[in-house]
Amino acid sequence: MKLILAALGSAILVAGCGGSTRPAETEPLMDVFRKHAQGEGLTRRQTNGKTLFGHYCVTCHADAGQGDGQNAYNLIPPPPDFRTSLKGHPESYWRQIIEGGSSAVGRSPLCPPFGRTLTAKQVDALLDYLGALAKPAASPAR
Amino acid sequence: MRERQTAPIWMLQAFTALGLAFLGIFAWIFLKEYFAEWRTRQAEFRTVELRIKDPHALSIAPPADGLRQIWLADLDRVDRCTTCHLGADDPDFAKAAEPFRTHAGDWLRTHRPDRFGCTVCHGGQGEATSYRAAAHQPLPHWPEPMRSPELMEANCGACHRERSPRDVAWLSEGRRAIAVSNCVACHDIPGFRAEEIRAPRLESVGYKVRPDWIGRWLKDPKAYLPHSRMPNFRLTPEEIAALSVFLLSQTAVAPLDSSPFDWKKADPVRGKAVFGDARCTTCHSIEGRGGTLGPELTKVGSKVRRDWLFGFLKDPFRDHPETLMVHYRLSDAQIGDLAAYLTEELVDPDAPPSPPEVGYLDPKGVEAGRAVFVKHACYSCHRFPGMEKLGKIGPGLTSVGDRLVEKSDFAGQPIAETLPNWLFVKLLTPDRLAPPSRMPTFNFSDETAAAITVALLSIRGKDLPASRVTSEPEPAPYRPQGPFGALVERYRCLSCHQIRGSGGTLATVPLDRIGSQLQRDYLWSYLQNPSAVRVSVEERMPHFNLTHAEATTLADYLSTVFIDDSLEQPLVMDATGAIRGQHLFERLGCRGCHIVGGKGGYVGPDLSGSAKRLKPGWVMAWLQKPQQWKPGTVQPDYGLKPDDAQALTAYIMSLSTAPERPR
Repeated sequence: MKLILAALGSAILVAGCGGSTRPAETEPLMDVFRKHAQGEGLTRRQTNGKTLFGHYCVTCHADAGQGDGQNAYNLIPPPPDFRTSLKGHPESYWRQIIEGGSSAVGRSPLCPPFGRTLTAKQVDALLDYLGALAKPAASPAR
Repeated sequence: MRERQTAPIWMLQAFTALGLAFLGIFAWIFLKEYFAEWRTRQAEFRTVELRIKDPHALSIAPPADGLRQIWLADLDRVDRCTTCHLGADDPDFAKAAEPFRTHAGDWLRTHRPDRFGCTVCHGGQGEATSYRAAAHQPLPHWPEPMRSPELMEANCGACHRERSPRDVAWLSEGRRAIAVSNCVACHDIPGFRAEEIRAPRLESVGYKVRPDWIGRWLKDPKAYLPHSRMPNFRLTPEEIAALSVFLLSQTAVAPLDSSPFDWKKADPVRGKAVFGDARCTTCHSIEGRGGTLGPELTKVGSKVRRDWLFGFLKDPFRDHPETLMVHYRLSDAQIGDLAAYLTEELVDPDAPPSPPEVGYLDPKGVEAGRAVFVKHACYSCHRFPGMEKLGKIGPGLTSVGDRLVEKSDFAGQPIAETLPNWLFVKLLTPDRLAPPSRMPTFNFSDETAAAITVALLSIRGKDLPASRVTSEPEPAPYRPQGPFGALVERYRCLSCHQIRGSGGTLATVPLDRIGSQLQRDYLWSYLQNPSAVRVSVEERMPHFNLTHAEATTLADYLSTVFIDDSLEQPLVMDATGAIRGQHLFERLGCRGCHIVGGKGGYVGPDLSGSAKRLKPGWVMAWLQKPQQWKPGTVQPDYGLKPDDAQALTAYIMSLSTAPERPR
């Protein structure tokens, strides 16, 4: 009896769907935006940070902040690997380095100060992106 | 005595019913207003406020009460969003739930709400006072519902009309793609100029290309060459055949005569060396490596005729007066070698053997081909004599962002019927939507089509007050005169360099103040033997084989005309300053990026030999405000004090040993 009811129900359902004029509507444009945002796994601010990182930092710090960029071999001491070194210091410490250079926290002077070059908003975005680099799960595919 | 008249009973009943109905309607109106959604929201806000705010501050602040609105008279907009979004401009509500949360970022600082309102950026129906009517979600017959962050960039672009405004990646990419795809050839698009269209002239193409190549190319240019700018016109085989005949009949300017040249003496190996030495890959790429300013050359040997190539390399301006290509100073033997290399080594392995040349072209075939040429408006990109007056065949896009979606035919596709979706699908697959279109298929990636959609949506029909709009000044064409002008023309300096806002963007340095940056003698030798000062930068400036006299004309002109007096201040360069500067150089970590004496980083220029290269006033000015001279430079502003900058300048200008570089 139950079976018959279920069959009847699904038959009505199928008939109902068949009667509708259009299949489900798609949102092709929004799908692109969604896919793009997921693919990177980054927020909008982190994406801005990534652009800045690519422009100012990658030559020494390398794509994922692993510290073996094109220019890293000319530096003694070499840049640290962000994927591990970012942990253990508060964000304010890294802000100090970005704005005042590595010498501002008593390290070598090889990382220059960008406090007068980047706006506060840009430094925020950069820090946000560094935060994403430090989390291996969220770090972008290379 | 007259009998008192009483109204019939049905009238009394009707009157009572009417009275009750009116009472009901009034009560309904009253209650609807009394329990309006926005009043509920404001009551909620007062509870939230009590939790967040200091009671004393609250007691003296004006209460959130009643409808609020922002009237933007010059934009003809009224936004009542702040009736509910009561915490948007108050940083204390950063952690509150919507609709009371503080506005993200510092957008309200750069776009004050009293001047910009809300819907200008977000979209939606500003006059509404309920969630639904404000079009937070798509609302039937309201053309602009609130937009996602990506689509909001289109609203940014309505006022920000620069080619690539800051912080709006989709919009900038879309505008770039519109320019590169020559969209303005067929459509009127505000902000894009006809002069930006790039495509070769075809009136002498009959001499240039091999007959069999035309067919392979026209079938699908992007399948033949993925980076091609030319889209696929979905031509039928008959159309391709007709067009081939028409193009082969185009012989307006005969190439220079190459018959005296003995091709048996041409050597592709030597030609390859000429190719490398002249740095052709700065503009041309082979198998994905090289520049994109000129045509890709991987299969050029299967495309062009050797004799035409010889003549073109000897004088590129003869049949292509507007080409970006340099007129090199090469000997006939070098040109022959180069042509042999290009036509023998860089061939398409899949090309079928060339059919024998047909001497006679059927005039009827030529006419049929001309009709195809006109039908698909090939003349809009490839300027063609006699067709200058033919108009653009695509609809004008001067108000495409305001186009009503009701006017767009989705041809029964299962797509949510919004204007952004229609534009996006049209860009990706022009033949999928109705009416059938002559618009070619560009093979855009999904991302590029989405970006172009954003850029198109930013084009609104309504005129905005000039005070609302930011845009780049239109560059005034710059054409230097005299012997210097002739050299700039011949060596096509402006294909890569900028002078007074005109010219290409391949070269990193605009030439407007080059005479105050570099010493005249250095310029003179650099022009003859250009070698990069950055280790990490590929050397790109071509070897022109300039004569001494040409180099002298150029160097003299650059160092007398392209001068900035503010950089020409005399500086005292003393030895003590230089020593102090050397200490600063090490202490500030300059060596991390710059080489001195063979040791240092690859990021900035090698500073060895600066004494003979740079001018001190420039070094001093650069060190103090690098971003002012070159926006976006990696060199940071160290905030140097003037005497420190002067000491560093003295040190840099004391470096006289030229860098060692294998040549």
